[in-house]
Amino acid sequence: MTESHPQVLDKVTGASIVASAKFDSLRSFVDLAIATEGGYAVVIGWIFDPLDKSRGMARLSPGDGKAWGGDTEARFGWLSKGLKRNGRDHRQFIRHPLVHGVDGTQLVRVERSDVSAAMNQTPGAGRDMHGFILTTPVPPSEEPVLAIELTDDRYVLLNCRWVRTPGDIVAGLRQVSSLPQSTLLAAVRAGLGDEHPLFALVRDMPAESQLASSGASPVKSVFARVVKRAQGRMGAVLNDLSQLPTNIEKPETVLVSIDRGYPLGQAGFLFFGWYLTPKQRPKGISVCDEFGNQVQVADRMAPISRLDVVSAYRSRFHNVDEMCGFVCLAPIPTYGGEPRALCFDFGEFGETWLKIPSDKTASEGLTLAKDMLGVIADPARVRTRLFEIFDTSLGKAIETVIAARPPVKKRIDILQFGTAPAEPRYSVIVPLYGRCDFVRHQLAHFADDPDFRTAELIYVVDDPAIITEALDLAARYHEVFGVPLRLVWYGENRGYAGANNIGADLARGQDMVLLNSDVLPQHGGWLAILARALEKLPAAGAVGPLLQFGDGSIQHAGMYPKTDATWPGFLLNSHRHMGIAWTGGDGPSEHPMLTAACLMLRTADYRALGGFDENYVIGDFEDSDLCLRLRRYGKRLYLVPEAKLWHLERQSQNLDGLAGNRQMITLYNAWRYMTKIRKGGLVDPRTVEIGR
Amino acid sequence: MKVVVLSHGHPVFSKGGGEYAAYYLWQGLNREPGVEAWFVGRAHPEALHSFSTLAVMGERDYLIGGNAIIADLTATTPLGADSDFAELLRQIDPDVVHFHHYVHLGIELLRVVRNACPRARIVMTLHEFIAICVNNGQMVKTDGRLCFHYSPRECNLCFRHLKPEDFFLRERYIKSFFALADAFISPSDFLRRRYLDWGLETRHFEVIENGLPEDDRVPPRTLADGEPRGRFAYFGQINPYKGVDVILEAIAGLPKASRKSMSLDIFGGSLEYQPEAFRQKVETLLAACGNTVHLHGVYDPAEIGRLMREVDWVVMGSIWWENSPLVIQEAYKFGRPVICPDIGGMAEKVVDGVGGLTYRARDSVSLAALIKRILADAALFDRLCRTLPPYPALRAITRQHLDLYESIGQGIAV
Repeated sequence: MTESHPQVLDKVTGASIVASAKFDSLRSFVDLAIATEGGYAVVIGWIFDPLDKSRGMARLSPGDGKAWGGDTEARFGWLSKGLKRNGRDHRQFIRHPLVHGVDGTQLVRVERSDVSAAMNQTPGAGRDMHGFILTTPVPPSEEPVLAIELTDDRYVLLNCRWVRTPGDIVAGLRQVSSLPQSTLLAAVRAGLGDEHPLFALVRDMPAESQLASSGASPVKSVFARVVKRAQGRMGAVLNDLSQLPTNIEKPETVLVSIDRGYPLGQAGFLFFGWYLTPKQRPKGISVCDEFGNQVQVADRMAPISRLDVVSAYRSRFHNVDEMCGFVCLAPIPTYGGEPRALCFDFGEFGETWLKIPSDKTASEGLTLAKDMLGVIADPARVRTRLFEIFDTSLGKAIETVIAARPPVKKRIDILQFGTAPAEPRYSVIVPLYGRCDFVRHQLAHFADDPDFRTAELIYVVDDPAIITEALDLAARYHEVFGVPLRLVWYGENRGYAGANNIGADLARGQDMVLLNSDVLPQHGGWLAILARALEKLPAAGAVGPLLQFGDGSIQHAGMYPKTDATWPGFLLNSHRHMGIAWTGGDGPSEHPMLTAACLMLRTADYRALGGFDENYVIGDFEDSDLCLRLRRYGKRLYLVPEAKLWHLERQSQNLDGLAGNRQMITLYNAWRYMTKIRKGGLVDPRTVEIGR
Repeated sequence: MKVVVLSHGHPVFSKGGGEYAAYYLWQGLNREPGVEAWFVGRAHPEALHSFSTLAVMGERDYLIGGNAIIADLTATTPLGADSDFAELLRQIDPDVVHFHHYVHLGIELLRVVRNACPRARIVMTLHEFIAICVNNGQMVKTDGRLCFHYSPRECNLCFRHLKPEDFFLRERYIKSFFALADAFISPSDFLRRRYLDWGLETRHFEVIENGLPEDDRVPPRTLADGEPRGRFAYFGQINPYKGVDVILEAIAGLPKASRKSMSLDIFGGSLEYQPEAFRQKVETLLAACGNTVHLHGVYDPAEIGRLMREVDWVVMGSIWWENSPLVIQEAYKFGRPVICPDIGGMAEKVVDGVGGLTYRARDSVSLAALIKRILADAALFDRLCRTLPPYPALRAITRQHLDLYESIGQGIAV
């Protein structure tokens, strides 16, 4: 079989290629190899590999000598990448039948019980996954060389006879579909969908007059026959998961309801709901895809509190467990719209199947993350396990969603009011969210401060709802207060970190001040006081002023780590001495962390650190995160109470004061913060030693 | 010297004491040699042109738009260097811009003045407590109690939809503009102390009464044989703060015999605009008082002298502090003693037994006892008339203002 590929053999030592006939136990066959005019190769065939000798399939690049001896990633990019992305070895593809390659390659594994039978194996569920349909883009003139990669780094070339003309293609498809193993084509539709090139190929066949005189559309008839047989063969459960129920009440075995599922691509499938098993524990609980692949999830289902279920079923069952809810991250790659089923196995009492509705809505990023956090309706009742729930399912899922957020739209609008200083000494960045009338108040307090003649003031509108109001306010109050300012907006909500990072990109000042809109100076000259401290104090990386409430009590005079016995595992921040009158005098003091409600640091440092970490949800911990990264570089953080500002914050730092979803967001952020500390990305604030 | 006097209303449209005080000052200034004064009074939109915030009322007499609300006091008119108001200021090029109030106009106008006329001195006359109190500047709590001290937390108890921080912001915002004024004037020491307690920081803060155009006393009413000095008059708007209901309650509670030997004339209107509950209360009390009380409706300040001829006493019922009520000075001017509550600006202007008599504020029983005492003591009226303080004559008051304007220029701290 190697003779037909001289260009490959030129680059390869004979020992690298083995004929499948010579390789014990491994058998393979290509039923049909199609090269379409649209630039796709579609290969239908099977691999019988009872001893798990293969790692996966590879497309060999003719003439690419380096590919053979080089790294696997480059050699088998289209296949290996998809698998490696999952962090597992190549054989995983057997378990994960739908592989999406980066270049548009798709590999589907399908059942071939005929192969099992032919090889004297007993056909059965999960044991017949020998078949494959491969679709890969290739230049129209090229015929790709396909091989099975073996675990000992050798290859078995797949012998393909390529068909190209419409007539040959249809004839070949008819032949394939008339075979007993015709589930192939049904799987194309079920697994790849209408968008798949193979499906288009079948659908868009040349008119029947060109092919045969049978009168009926050969393609349609072929397809109809194929689907019918496939249904018979695959069984009702796996053939159409969409027909399954989403809740089931069988008091003898299980009462279960699946509330929602979130497809997370390669990261898996997050779903939640509740179940009661009044009589007996299930032998296994598994998640299945439409090809029959099954992963056991019983030990991945983290129990969560469902008082609603308790109150609904208490009258019927005496022992309704409050912790009957669950959230689970199933390690089964799932993309939007793909059906998944949940199976409770009660052994001799049979199996119970139900569908996991897969979220197909367009929500993403923050909206989706907030939605997913709502899974834990009552965090306080699972507080002892919450950190672990984040660790095993929810945290990972949200990290995936947040990391997959689309990048900020390129279009950023900027309007300058008045003339900014040519070479500003300071850049003052103020994000606006929800409420923008603070602009009026800040400008009134900046107007007569000479420092603002050398400062550029940047308001970042991080809230699409207030853009018009912000523009009107800026135009109107710039006129009367005369403080030059720049308004930046981009029609979306990026959160506190994102907004500041966008503002920081525009900053030209040597020093940067991150400022909340509800902070007002008590006196002029505060910028110069902070800048002097930043310059003079030993190893200063950032400095912050004393922030006081309107009544003069401390709002912020340094930030410290704190743990909370009611939320084991989480690390939180605390503003020390909050609400107590300030008696500390004007001298500077070092603290482990400082709030970013008003923080001055060098613009170059901020950029070198990459700014705020945008992957916290909404706005928590960004400032402590930034402070602890500064500390990683040996920088120290000082409170400079000679500069005094008011901070009119009402938001509680206390977890118990936050409403459900907001509390969960903070807890997620706290988990993420702790995770970064554990991994060494941040200095552990509990170990910071304060210099005297 | 060129002076611009700004008022939150023009007396042609708005007949309040503050508006008149500003208007009289403008007239007084124009009578002084070497002084040119302009009046700029806020008016309702219908009185103005469509596309300008300014309109001419007369010579050096302007109307200006504006609808700043008490909650935030922020201007609704253009504030830029090219605004009509800024153009007018630059054209006048005043030495002094005197704000007689900031409500309606908008607090930002102080900075517009500072921007347009950097060398002009800015003077501000304070009236009630609008900078301090969102409840119409009365320093009366929304549950009716008197308020003694500004505190954002207590303000929040009056207006639950506003947070303490909102009041703090409002205070900071107003103070950022007050910092631009070179001097403040309060017509009463009581009001001055309240603003100092609120934290107003200024080097110049004087008490100067609002001036009244000069006029002569009117002789006491001629009495019939044996008739007591029993004719009382109320001048002013009829609203809950002015406390007409307190006076009516006192009269309704008097023995019939006392009621027969007295009368109350009410000069003033607006009852129809008051809240239903208040209106009903007043109407019920009026019915209870019968012939003792007569409602005369709205009057013009020019009529006061004539109206005073037929009365013996001027009576007030205010349930709020008051600043320096014009009606007290009018009574002194025309030679009538004043009966008023014993709080705030009223207690400062009328010390019990000097210029009039006071009763326990908000207490109709106390007032009723006082009325009985007045009706029983035939000599009381004459005794009190001999103690009437001088009224603040416009010319003298105008010169006090000019002295203040000059003194700021010389940088004299008060």
